[in-house]
Amino acid sequence: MLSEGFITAIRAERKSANTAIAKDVGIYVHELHPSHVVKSSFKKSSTPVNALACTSTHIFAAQVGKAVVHVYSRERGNQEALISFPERVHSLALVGENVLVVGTGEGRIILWEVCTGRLISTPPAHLQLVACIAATPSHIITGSEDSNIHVWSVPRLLSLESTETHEPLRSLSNHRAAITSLAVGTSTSPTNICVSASKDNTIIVWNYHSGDLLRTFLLPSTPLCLALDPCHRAVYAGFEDGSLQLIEFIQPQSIVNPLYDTSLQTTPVQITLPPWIAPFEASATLCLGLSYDGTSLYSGHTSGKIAQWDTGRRAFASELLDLNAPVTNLLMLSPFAPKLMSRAITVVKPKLGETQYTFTAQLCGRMSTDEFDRTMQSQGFPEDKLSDAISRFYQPVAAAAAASSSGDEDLRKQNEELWKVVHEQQALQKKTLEKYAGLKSG
Amino acid sequence: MGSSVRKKREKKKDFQKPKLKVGKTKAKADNFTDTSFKSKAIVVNQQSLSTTAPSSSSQFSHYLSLASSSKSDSQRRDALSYLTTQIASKPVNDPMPLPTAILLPKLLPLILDGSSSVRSQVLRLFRLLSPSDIGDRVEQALLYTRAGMTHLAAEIRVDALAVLEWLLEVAKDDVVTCPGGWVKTLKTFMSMMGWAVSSSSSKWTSASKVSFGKAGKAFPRQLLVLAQFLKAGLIETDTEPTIGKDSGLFPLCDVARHMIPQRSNAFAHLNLFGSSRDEEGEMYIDREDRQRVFQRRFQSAVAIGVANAKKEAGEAGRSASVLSKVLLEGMADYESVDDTQ
Repeated sequence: MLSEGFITAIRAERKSANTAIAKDVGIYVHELHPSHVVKSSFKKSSTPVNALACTSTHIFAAQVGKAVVHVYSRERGNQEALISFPERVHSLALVGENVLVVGTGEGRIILWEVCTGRLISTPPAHLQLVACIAATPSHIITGSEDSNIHVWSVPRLLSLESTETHEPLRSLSNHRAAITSLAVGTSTSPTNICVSASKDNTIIVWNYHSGDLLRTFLLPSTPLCLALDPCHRAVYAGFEDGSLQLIEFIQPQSIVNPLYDTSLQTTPVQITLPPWIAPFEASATLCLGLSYDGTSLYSGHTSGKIAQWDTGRRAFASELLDLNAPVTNLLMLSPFAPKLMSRAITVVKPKLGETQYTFTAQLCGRMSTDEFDRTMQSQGFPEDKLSDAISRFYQPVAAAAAASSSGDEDLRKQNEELWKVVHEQQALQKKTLEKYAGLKSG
Repeated sequence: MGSSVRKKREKKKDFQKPKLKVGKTKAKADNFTDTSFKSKAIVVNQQSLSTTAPSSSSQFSHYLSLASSSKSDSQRRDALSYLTTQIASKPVNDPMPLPTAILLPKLLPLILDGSSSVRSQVLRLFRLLSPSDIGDRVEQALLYTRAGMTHLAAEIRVDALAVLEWLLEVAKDDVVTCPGGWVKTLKTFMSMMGWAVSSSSSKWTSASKVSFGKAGKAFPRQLLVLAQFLKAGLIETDTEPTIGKDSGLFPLCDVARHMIPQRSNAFAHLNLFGSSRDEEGEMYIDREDRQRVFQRRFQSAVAIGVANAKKEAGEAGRSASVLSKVLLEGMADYESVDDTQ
């Protein structure tokens, strides 16, 4: 039975003396089906917003006000390592499964390859701290409090040429206040979108490959977190007053995706629909997560509550849990485990000033594929299968004929009769067509 | 001579100590002073005293918790009547003090409550809630309704029938299509009315149990509610065809189906994350599916029961004729296809 889950991390400020919640647990792993339950937890972590990342084997959590990242092992259930960086860490993201991107307080980003220990850091491209990072397998998008968004290319950053100066590919600077959250789409095409939310009460949709601004949405209050629909039909934003809002990109009456309609790109759109409000007292929505099928939205608030919302009815569904401390991160886990060829069992701590790196990982599965997989994945029919099939047609049908000769006789007779009927029908059809042609002309 | 004995006795008395007896308290000393005192005190239970009145929303949630978890019947009934008046008296466009998502799970167990005033009050409260919200939560509501219909106490059975009537009025499509809504509810009807589902011989009639006594009065009503349920499940109401509306956008068809769905939990029929549902717990969205299951499992028992009920005169007979009409209309166009060969 498939099951979905999510991971939440808190920033440790105990709200009330609630002895039901364990004191030093910082990260919870929840499971949603068949009913909501906390599966496991990790201790001693206090994370700021946008500072949690997880792979299939590890969880990475930056710590509030410190230049340190805690690494927890999901299989062993304990803290595996404490990695320290030269500056305070404010945001984390993962590129694929093996590279952790760390956004620091000076405005630079540091990439750490988890399996080799290689560390690459860029010069400070942002003027203030890096508040949020979003990553695809080929690009990294960073948003900062100086209202700029930089797009970086992953192969260029990770290349082994030591003469590469690390610079962003382009900079998107239409916002006028600090960027609070970034969400990037899951497409692999060059028209992939990225959505940014900022403290100037706007949400902007960009095409980060070309640097075009696609649409601006004006909002009644400050958005703090974003969740993008799996099919990019809409984005959900969580506000400072604890409410949520749905911003739709696609209208049902138009053929063209309105985002790419160039005539609408310069006019900002005002969102006037009423926001979705939770029945408990208002506390800022710090993080959002959307379920696999897009029908439920999970939000974490400053009051410690985790709420579930129904996206179909655009309303509050239920309160899942109260964690007694601000829930700053919520990461959804996919119900399908990714098929990986290698996994990192232990992370390799970064060592500066090394020129030789060793890749340490555990290989899983076999490299060779079996016959069926090969046939399925080749384009068209594979050569050898085709030649095998053709050669079978030319072989004499020796053994088969003797066994089913009587059956063949019957079949042959039936075939002849049917052919006779078909020929008669064709002759009849010709005659009637001639008749019609005669009538028409005459 | 007399005075010397007296004087000796008096001197001895000074040195005699009084004997201590078991079970009696020690004698008080001569210079004993009583220092006990009485005092009175008034003890007040934990109270929250404040100068401002509690807000209406906090009062509402307080009365909701009283209604769902108080030990005394009268307190529950009064809390429910407060909630009903609050909801009934708010201006029409105002949002509800608490959303149905929170109200309904707390109030559903009161369907099975022991006191009749609480049950009637909770049904009055349910009628004030908005129908679309009920439609999303009908599976949970049916769980409690079915438990009420098979309850040991006859009054609770009757009141659970009223709740099912309300559900059919408000959300009849959701009632028959939710997971387990069709088969499990039919099974509870069969057990409630005593119509054996798998009886083969017709010699033994089991009608005697249900038509006598207090339960007998409920029998015509049960027939009527069963007729309503079967009507909702087997007879199709006219729905407007939505296909062909946006044929104007040629390369795209059915764009409306690709938008974010407007219903709650639109992929429930795929059952992506739940455990596999057996025949009873399955969702029957098509009318033909419902007809097929009904014909295979329940139709014979229902036909026999209806025939027996018609033989009895009076209310039961009249309700049975209504039920037989619904049965005819519902299964008239069904052809059973034998797909086991």
